[in-house]
Amino acid sequence: MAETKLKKTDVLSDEDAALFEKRESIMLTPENATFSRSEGGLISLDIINAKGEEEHFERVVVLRSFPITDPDDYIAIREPETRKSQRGQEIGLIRNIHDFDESTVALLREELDRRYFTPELYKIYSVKEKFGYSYWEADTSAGKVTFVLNNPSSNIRILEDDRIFIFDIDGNCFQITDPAKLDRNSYRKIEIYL
Amino acid sequence: MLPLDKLTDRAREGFLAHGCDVESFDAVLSLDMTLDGAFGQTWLALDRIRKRLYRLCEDDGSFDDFSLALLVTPYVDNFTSSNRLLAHAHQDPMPEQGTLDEKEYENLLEDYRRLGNTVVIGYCTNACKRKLFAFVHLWNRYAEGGEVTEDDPIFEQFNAKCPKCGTVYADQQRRICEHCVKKSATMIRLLAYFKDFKLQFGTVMFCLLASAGISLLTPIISNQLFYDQVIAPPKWNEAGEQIQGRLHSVEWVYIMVAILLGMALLSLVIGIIQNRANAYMSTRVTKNMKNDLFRALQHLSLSYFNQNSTGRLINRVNYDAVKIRSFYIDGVPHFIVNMLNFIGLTIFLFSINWKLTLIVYIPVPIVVCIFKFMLPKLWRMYSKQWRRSSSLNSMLGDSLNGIRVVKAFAKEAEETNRFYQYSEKLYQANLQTNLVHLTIFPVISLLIGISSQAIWGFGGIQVMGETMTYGQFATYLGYVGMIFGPLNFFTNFTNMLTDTINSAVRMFETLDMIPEITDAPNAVELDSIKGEIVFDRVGFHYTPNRPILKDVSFTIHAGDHVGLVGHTGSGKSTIANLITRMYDVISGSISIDGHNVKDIKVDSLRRNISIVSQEIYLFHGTIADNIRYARPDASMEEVIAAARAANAHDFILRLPEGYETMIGIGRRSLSGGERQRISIARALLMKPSLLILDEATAAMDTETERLISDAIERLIEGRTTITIAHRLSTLKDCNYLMAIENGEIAESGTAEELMEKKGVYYKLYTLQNEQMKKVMAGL
Repeated sequence: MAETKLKKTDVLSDEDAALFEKRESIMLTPENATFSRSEGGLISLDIINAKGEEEHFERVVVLRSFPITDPDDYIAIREPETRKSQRGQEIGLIRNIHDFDESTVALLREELDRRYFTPELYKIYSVKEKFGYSYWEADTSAGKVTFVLNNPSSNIRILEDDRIFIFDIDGNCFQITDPAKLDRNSYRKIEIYL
Repeated sequence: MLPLDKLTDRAREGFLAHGCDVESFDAVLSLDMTLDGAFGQTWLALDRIRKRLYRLCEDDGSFDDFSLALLVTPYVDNFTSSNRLLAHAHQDPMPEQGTLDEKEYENLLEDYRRLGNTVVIGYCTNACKRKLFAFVHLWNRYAEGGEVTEDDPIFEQFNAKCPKCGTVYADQQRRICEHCVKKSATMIRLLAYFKDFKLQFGTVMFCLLASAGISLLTPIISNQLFYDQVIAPPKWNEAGEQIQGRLHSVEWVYIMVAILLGMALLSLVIGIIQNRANAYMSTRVTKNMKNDLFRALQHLSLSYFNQNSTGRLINRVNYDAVKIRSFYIDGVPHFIVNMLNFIGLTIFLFSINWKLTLIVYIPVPIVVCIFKFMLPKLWRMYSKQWRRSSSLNSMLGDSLNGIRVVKAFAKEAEETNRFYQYSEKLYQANLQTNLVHLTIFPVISLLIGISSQAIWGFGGIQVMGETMTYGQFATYLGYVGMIFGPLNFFTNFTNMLTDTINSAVRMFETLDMIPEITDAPNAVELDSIKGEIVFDRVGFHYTPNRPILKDVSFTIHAGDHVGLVGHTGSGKSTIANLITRMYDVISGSISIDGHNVKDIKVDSLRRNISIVSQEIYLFHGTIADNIRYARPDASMEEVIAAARAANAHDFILRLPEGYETMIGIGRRSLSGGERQRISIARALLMKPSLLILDEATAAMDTETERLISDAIERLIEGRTTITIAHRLSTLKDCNYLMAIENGEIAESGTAEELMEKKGVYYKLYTLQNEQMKKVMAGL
């Protein structure tokens, strides 16, 4: 019995087996993967895949596996989701972003920063409370902004390492990496919510 | 121009400067980010006649002009706080059909849409998300040659009105009605709950004032009158006026004792009356608030329950009402009384001896300073303590709810250790808070103590110097002891106030929430339905970034038995939810028997449709009650017939208490298949015109499934049935199949037709077949 180890193709015809083929995700290293800027200003990728063939992707999606605690490790590179095949498959995983040279790191970082866009609050000009909603005016790493917050108890989250995430009424997220470093006036404005 | 965004003057000038014909724009969109990913203004404009898309960046004035003929397939990448609009850019326009046949040309178009250089059209935060999706929708419809008018349903989401005053929200993204928020100040609205209890409220206030008066009078009577005029020997001042011992006789001792006793009794009676009135009012107010909240919750749409956890809602019903009540019952009256007491005491103290009073007030600024600087620190500690205790609670709940998994993986020791960690953290926080708390408050007491010791000193000298009688001095000391009571109350009162406002805001948020699904004013009542269902370009999402259904169109004829197949998450159950109007479509329309579902009374719609969903919920109660849930007036004969059809009759009778077996949490536990059968019986009892079975037989063995489907087939002959399943055997009776993939109807037809198409259905079939073959081959 043991020697009759059947393969999928023994039950399915070759043609049918092709229906179930799934890309094999590989570990991406500078040896098998080259990232470059696409013509549209996004990221293109050339790889040597698991079968040893060269493959080109006009655009790839770059994702973090641990966006909050470990942004540089386990970066997933996926096919984009298109209307035809909505779920893009994973092309490969980068163990650590620094496995690649600096220009590639810069390229990937730029894309990652866009995707995980979470403005850092530098300065809080004013917080006005009006019946359950607070109206904030602040300066962030992406420029000046005003936003509205409700229900601070559930929309201001404090991580164990003291980082603060603020989710506004639209679902946008702002962060304060080190609240202790805020200037006194700004700190006073958020103090009551902490 | 379509009612999406309006051009500002500045943007209009910008576009004009680049030679655009602003008047012929079909739609403009304002994005709140620049192409560098910073906050800023970027405008997009669609000009259908010239087939152009213009982009104007307001900050740096940069301008781009795209040809819509070369730019295809716009789509949105959704990020945490931002969205990116992308499209595929080509060098050559879309190919012509020429001599190609239909199929070849379709493939060519498909490739054209999929390939090309991906380019970024713009970025925006979630604040513009809805509009961005509407813009993409318009763009796509124009690309297909469609027409869009101003009253298209896609714009409805931007015209939401405040449910109370009917004005259109100034900011559609942040639906806050400034008008109503201002007008109905929360605290005043809360008072409405007390308006039926004016008598009780008045009684409570009166009693509080009376007892405050008594407590103010007591030191005067017991000290100034009793000691100075009765006990102390007669004494005259230099002007010959008697200042002490005017009533120096034994009879007066009895009278004074009687007065004091009377006052004590009076205050006891007042206290009892006050507490009784209070209890009467507060229990009723709490009851009314809870009832209102529950009624409001029951009428809210399903989407509200998806966004709010059950635990939070239970808290809202249980605790918020209690908190608000206690504020009005304990907080407000005491606030008024303490306020009056404080003013009264201050006047008394100053009038008895203003010099001494100044000494009393010396530590007040110091105490206030300590409060001001130390209290925020203490609050932060309390909130840390609160956070830790709530994470301990959730860990506890998590672990106990998952106890089966814990035991299955033999992780009892690890879970215990995890608990120790949380417990340790909570202990640390508790310890810290207590240490600070226990340091600050003794210091404050000491400060207060020092002032009263100073008063003993200064006061004693004054009594010796006879500028003050001993009775006055004792009265004075009595009042000094009372004055820190109100001060203490006021420091806690602000906390109480913020707490209550938060609770009240949460409560009104729920009460004011307008269900998303409501009857249209001219909604029709349908007694019965035939079951002809038409989906016309239906688009739906739960959250804007994840389209669940995209332009789905199909027709189910009355009497059809339709099967829906597809992967998990492909949108099958959503179709069922939309037919029963658990949610409203985002675009397109659904009609039943020619009526748009939005124009049918929700009650009558749901009365005619029975749905057996994947998630089965059986209430506490007997099996019979559960089956009769939808029609409590059904006879037991009907209950048995329905149970028989659902193949549940036999197993129910095997239970010791038959149909009267109690089920629900903590009662007799039924197997998954048994629960499903009861829920099918519940649905069948309604004799629906339209039956939807959403994986209703997934937990049953194939034989039972067969029995049930045969029974159902007999029962619902001629009625429309929709069966959703991923096991193909479940769909054997369907005369029409639809395969859903990625929110679209990938293919439809009879089972034979689908096999020939070699698409989704074929894939599923071969896969399930392959597994069967493997089983047969003994692998």
